[in-house]
Formats: sequence, C-alpha cells, structure tokens
Amino acid sequence: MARFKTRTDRVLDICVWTAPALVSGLFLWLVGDLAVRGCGAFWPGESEASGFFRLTEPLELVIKFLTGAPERAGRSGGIGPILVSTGLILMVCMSMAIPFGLGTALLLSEFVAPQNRFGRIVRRSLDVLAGVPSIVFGLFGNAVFSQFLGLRFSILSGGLTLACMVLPLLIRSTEEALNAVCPTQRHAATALGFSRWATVFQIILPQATPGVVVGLVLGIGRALAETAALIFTSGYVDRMPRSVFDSGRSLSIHIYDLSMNVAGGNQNAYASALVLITVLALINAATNWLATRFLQREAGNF
Amino acid sequence: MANQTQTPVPLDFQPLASPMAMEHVTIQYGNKVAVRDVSLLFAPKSITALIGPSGCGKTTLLTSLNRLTDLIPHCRVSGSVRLAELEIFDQRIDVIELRRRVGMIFQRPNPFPMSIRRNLELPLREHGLRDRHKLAEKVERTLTEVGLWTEVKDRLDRSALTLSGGQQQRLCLARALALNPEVILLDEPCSSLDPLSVAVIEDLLVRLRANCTIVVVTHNLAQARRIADSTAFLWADEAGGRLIEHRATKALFDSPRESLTAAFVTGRVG
Amino acid sequence: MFRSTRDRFLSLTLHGLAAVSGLIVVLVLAFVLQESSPVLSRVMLSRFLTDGSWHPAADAAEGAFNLLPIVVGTLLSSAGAVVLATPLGILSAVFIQFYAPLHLARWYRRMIELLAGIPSVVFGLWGLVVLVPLIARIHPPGQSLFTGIVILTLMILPTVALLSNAAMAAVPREIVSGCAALGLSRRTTAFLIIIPAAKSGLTTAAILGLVRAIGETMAVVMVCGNVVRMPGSLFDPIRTLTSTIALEMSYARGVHRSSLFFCGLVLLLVVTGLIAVAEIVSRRQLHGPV
Repeated sequence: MARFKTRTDRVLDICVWTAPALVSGLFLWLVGDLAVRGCGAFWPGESEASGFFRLTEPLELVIKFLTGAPERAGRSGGIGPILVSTGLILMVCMSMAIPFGLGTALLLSEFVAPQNRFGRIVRRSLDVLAGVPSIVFGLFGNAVFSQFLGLRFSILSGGLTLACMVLPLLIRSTEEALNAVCPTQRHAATALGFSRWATVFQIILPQATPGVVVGLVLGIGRALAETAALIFTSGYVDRMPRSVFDSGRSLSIHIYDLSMNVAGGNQNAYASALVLITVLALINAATNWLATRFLQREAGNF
Repeated sequence: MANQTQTPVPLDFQPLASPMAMEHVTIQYGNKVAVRDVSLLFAPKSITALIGPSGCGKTTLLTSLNRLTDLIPHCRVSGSVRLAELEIFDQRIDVIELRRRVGMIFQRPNPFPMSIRRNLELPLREHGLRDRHKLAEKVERTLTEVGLWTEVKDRLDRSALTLSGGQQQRLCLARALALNPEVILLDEPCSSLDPLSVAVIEDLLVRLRANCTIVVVTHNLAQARRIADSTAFLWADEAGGRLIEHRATKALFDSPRESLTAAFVTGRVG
Repeated sequence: MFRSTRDRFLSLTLHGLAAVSGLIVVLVLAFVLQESSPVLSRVMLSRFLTDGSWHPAADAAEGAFNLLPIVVGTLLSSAGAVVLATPLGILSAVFIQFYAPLHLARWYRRMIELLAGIPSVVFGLWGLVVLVPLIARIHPPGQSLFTGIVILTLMILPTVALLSNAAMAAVPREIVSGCAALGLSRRTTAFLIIIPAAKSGLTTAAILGLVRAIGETMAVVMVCGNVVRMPGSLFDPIRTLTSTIALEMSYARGVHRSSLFFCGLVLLLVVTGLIAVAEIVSRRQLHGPV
C-alpha cells in the first residue's frame, strides 16, 4: 500500500502556508506604514542646527508634539490637551468601572453558588452586554448621560459610557483571577473560623491582585482604543478641558477627525496614531509581564 | 455477548511479524528522566507484557516504539530501537509508514467522531487503498475479525460514538488491524472496559499472536499471566524508570530472580 | 456580633453593585427603545423599506426613510468579510496546531493577538491613506464595498483565528494521538478529522466574527465612502447602519434622531440574536466522552 499525494493534498498544503503569510504580510505592512509615517512627523526637515543638536532635535519635536496645543484644526501643533482629555476620560471610566467590576466579580465568584439564580441572571446579562456594538453604547451614553442626566457633551458622560462598555471585560478577567486562587485556601480560611470579610480581604484578594491588575490594564487598553462610543458623548472640542464637565477630545477621535474631516491632517493623524499604538503596546507588554509573573508565583506555591 | 462460543475466524493477512528490539534506550522529558537505559527484545509471534507500578515509564516506553514520543514537546529518546532491521529513530525514515507497520491501541477507546465505516475507511484510503469494493470487503473482514460485524453491520453509517466502550475499543483494534501491522502496541487496552469486553479482547489478542508481535502495557497482573508469553517488569526510583527483569511469564511470576520482582508480583510493593 | 454585621454589610453592598452591573444591559435596551419610539409611532415601519430614499428630517412628513440600501450595505460588507476571514482564520489555526514549528506557531499566535489589539480607528487610517488610493487605481473612487471588506476581514480575523484555534485545541488529545498512531498525515489529521470534530466550535467562531463585522463602526466609516445607494459592484461606495449613526448623530433632531436610535435597535437585536445562535451551536457537543 503506497501513499501518494493527490492534487488536492498539494493545494491544501500550499493554502496552509499562504494564509498565514498573507496575514503576516498585511500586519507588517500596516505596522510598518504606521511606524514610518508616524516617525516621519518627528523627523526634522531643513535645519540650522548641526552635530549633536541634530540628534536631539527629534526628541524635542516629540516633546513639543506631546505637550503643545493643536493649531490650524490639528494640522500642526501638538496633542497636549487631547492627552489630558484622554487621561481624564480614562480616570472617570476606571473610577466607575473598578468598584462595580470588582464588587460584581467578588459576588459572582465568592458569595453566590454557581447555580444561584441571581448570579446566573447577572452573568447572563453581562454576556449580552459584552456583545453590544460600541456605537450602540454611544447612542445609549448620549441618551442617558448627555441628555437625560444633563451632562451634555462632556468628559464625564464619555467616561461613564466607556465604564459601561468595559465592565463585562473587567468582571470576567477579575472573576478568572479570583477563581485562580486555590480553593483549598478558602477551605482553610473557613475552617479557621474566618469571617467572609476577612477571607475576602486578607486571603483571597491579596493572592488575586496581580490577576486583577492584568484585567484592569486590559480594560484601560480597550477604553483607549475606543472611538465610536465617544464621538457623541465626550465630543470633539480640542481645547484644554478645565473640568470633567467640559467636552474633551480623546486621542482616537483626534485621529478620526484629522484623517476624515481635515484636509492635510494626515501627518499629524499618523503621529497621533503612533502615540496611541505605542501606549497600547506598552500596556500589552505590561500585561504579559504581569501575567507571567503571576503564573510563576502560582507555580512557586507548589 | 457470546463471542467465546463463536468459531474463531481465520485472519486474512500474513504479515511478517517482525521482531522489535530496544538497546540502551533512555527517554527524557526536558531534564526529567522517564526511562533509563532499557534493553528489551520483543519476540515475533508472541505477546510481551510490560508491568510495573504507575509512573515507572511503561507507557512512555511503549510510545517510543512507534515514535509517538515525537508528539510530546521536549521529549528526547536516545539509544537504539529497531523494527526488524530498521532503525526507527533515524531521521530519514518515513514515520507514517512506520506507524502503519506498528499499530497502537490506547487506554481510552478513541474512535474518530464520524461513522463506523468512515473510521475504518479513512486510514485505509490514507495508505493508498481507494477501490470501493476492496474497501467494503476490508471493512467487513476486519470487523468480523474483532467480532463486531454481526453487532454493527446494520448501522455502519451511524456515529462510532454511539457504540459501547467495549465495542469502541474493538473498533479501534479493527482500525489498526486493517492496516496489516507487523507489531501491535496496546496501552492498558482493557482498563476502561467491562469484564465481558475484556474477555473478548484478550481472546482476540491470543488469536492475533499467530501473525503479529504484540506488546501490551497492563496494570492487571492476572491479565499478564493469562495472555503474555513473556513479561517485563519495570520499576521507578529517583533516577527514573528502569527494567528489573524480563523473562517468560510463568518463570517471572513463579520464580522471580530479583527480590523486587517477587515483592511486586505478590503485592507487597507497588 | 461585630463580625456578622460586617459580613452582612459586605454581602449587601456586593449584591447592590452586581445588581447595577446586571441592570446596565436592561437600561441600554430601555433607552434605545424609548428614544426610537417616536419614529416607531409616527413612521410606518414599512416606510423603512418603501420610501424613495434616505433623506431623514426632524419631521416625519418631510423626511424619507428608506433604510434598505443601508441594510444591504451592512449585510454585504460583513458577509464578505466573514467569507474571507473564516477560511483564513481556520487555516491560521491549522497552521498553528499542525504545520508550524513550535516557535513559529508561538510567534504567529502572538502576532494575531497584537492584530486584535489594534484600534479600529488605526485600521481606518491605514485603509484611508494606503488602501483607498491603491484600489482607486484599479477602479475609482477607492472608498468602496471592496475596501470595507478587506479592512473588516483583517479586523475580524483575530476573532475567527483565535476561537478556531481554541475549538481545535478542545478536540480530545486521544483523537490526535489516535491519528498519529494510525500513520495519518498531518493534512488528513487536520482537514478530515480535527476540523469536522471541531465543526460546532468553528461555526461559533465564524458567527462571532460576523457579530464583530456588523458592529464595527470607525474603520467602515473611514473606508466605505458612505454614499446611500444600492451598490452595483464591489467597487461602489456603500453606507452601513453603524456609519449612518456615527455620521448623522451630531446634527439629528426629532424623528431623524429617533430613526438613528432605531438603527441602533436593529443592530442590538441582530447582534444579540446572532450571539444566541452562536451559543446554541457551541453547546451542541459533537465529540466528547462516550
């Protein structure tokens, strides 16, 4: 009985190698394009300076870009106020999402049995929430926070909208971190007559902290990448916000606006996109680092 | 099931029943030694049983015989394993042909999640048999050999997962036999089966002995006594699993040379 | 009893927080429904399909509310993306599990995870600046259904690939070793054994990819051209439900605003329905213990 390769076999083999090659190619094209054009924005043109100062010039340009105010609708100038707005939106988002996320996750994993009716309903509704498209969150935020609660276009309503959006992600990852704590620890605490309060705050949470932090960082990443939910909740205004009740433009909206609505805005759009991607890459690296450390510690326990 | 009363069906293939031999085989998972310096001869047309406590490397040793160890990341095998004259860990050999010649049955029955017929036809097609009539004939004959034909002939196109555990295991055996293997490896083939199915399988192995080299890992000492011609006893300590004694089954159980073997077969250790 | 009061307080607080988290989805549905009620009460539902065009106005009598080309645009772009991304995703998973050497598989997986983390606005920017001019050279104007499909394919690929990979990894390991022991090639193992065994998981992966494609907004707004017209070819511009909301929400009043919420409602229901289907499919066990 001899084996032989048919034509279909060969075609399949080729497909299995070309598909990843194609995907990798597109990925590298995208990232390469972003890096080249993004850095291009910081490359000094004709300049008087020479020698050592030529080398420091890109650095100066980066700092100027990160701190300066946008000029001519963003075609030139920097993204200072936009970074501040983005930071504020994230702060609002996280300060709302963390208590609700942590509380819900604690309840689901430590306080109610898996078959508990209330727990099941909450879990189910979070699953549905996780699937809601971001633009629908935008509509919801506009209707509830901007209009119903009278917050208009503001950093506050944008942040609150994002909080609703990242909540399911946050709860799921926190729950996973809590479940990763070895169940014998719970039994031991209960056997020693610990109260629930003490079990949670002195035994479970300290051990789960790295995992919880990984979840938080992931949530921040998700919020940073979001655009659609913010266009008509936090608004477009690119001035420096004076408080969270002011409208503020997030980095992602800035990229959108520059490339779509501002002729000649591409260069700064790329520079902003590079900043956004760099921050996201740092976040990604941080989560990986934390996650491996967490795993190592886990392994070290045994 | 009254298979014991059925007249044994003559097997339709006369393969070579090649001997297998391992010399100074050491198997490592990363830095951990699973089996250290084992030399064993598996005689043709006989059943060799591998016994020993859990974790002594019996299964690891067995999987090195058809290079299934290749599937385990960081697993290294050194020493020599030969199928007849073929050095099987030679990088140039055709692993797929090797695995056709050396069949394997696992602890838990693992039929593919598809019809009974397709479970048998797929490996045959893979190894080059495409003729419909020949395929159908082969399916019937191997199923008859394992005593499954009368039970399943009316539902060949039903999923193999609808069979009972014992039937599934016989199907897996049929699937391996269909490829005319020279050696059959069995990893505790009866540990998840009911006693009746065990009897059917053991009966089948004894009949297969006439045409194949059979190596069976078993936890069940009584089973080794019932079916094996020779038995190898392995034992594990901190340095990894090693071979203690390999002799004719009766001799190993009745007059073991090593005191460890005596202690194991009488149930004092392990 | 100091302890038990503290425990009861903790339990009550957590129940409260969880109740609010669970209620958000109800609130989303309630508000979207309430905001779309004006259009539902004043504009006959059939007008969404029979009106002459999409020229919404604050007053129901003045506007024209034909959503059909927009719905068709949404369906074509997301269906196209799924048709391309599903084979690419499944092949990627096969590559990772059966073909690639260990380190290459790890790198490729890592790359797909990174692809998943790229914000949609960045995909949009790249599509607008790089892809659109390229496609315009083949067939102007460049901002088209085709560009949208390409970008969406790239965006939903990580979802499909990672879920397919998980579905294939969930096939019992005994089956994989069974294949090897029978001397089946990796080709046969992957395409004739593992893929059929993981069918339900792969279907789920494709459906969840579709969900992502339908709900995607920014990249689509940026590369699809946004003209409300039935597309005649792959290279015609299209408008999707999500882009309609994103483009018109800032100035919409009255019934117009309400009709945008109606678009949101449609999206919400379609997406939730698809997720429910995906769950039913994934629950159907095709393999497993006896």
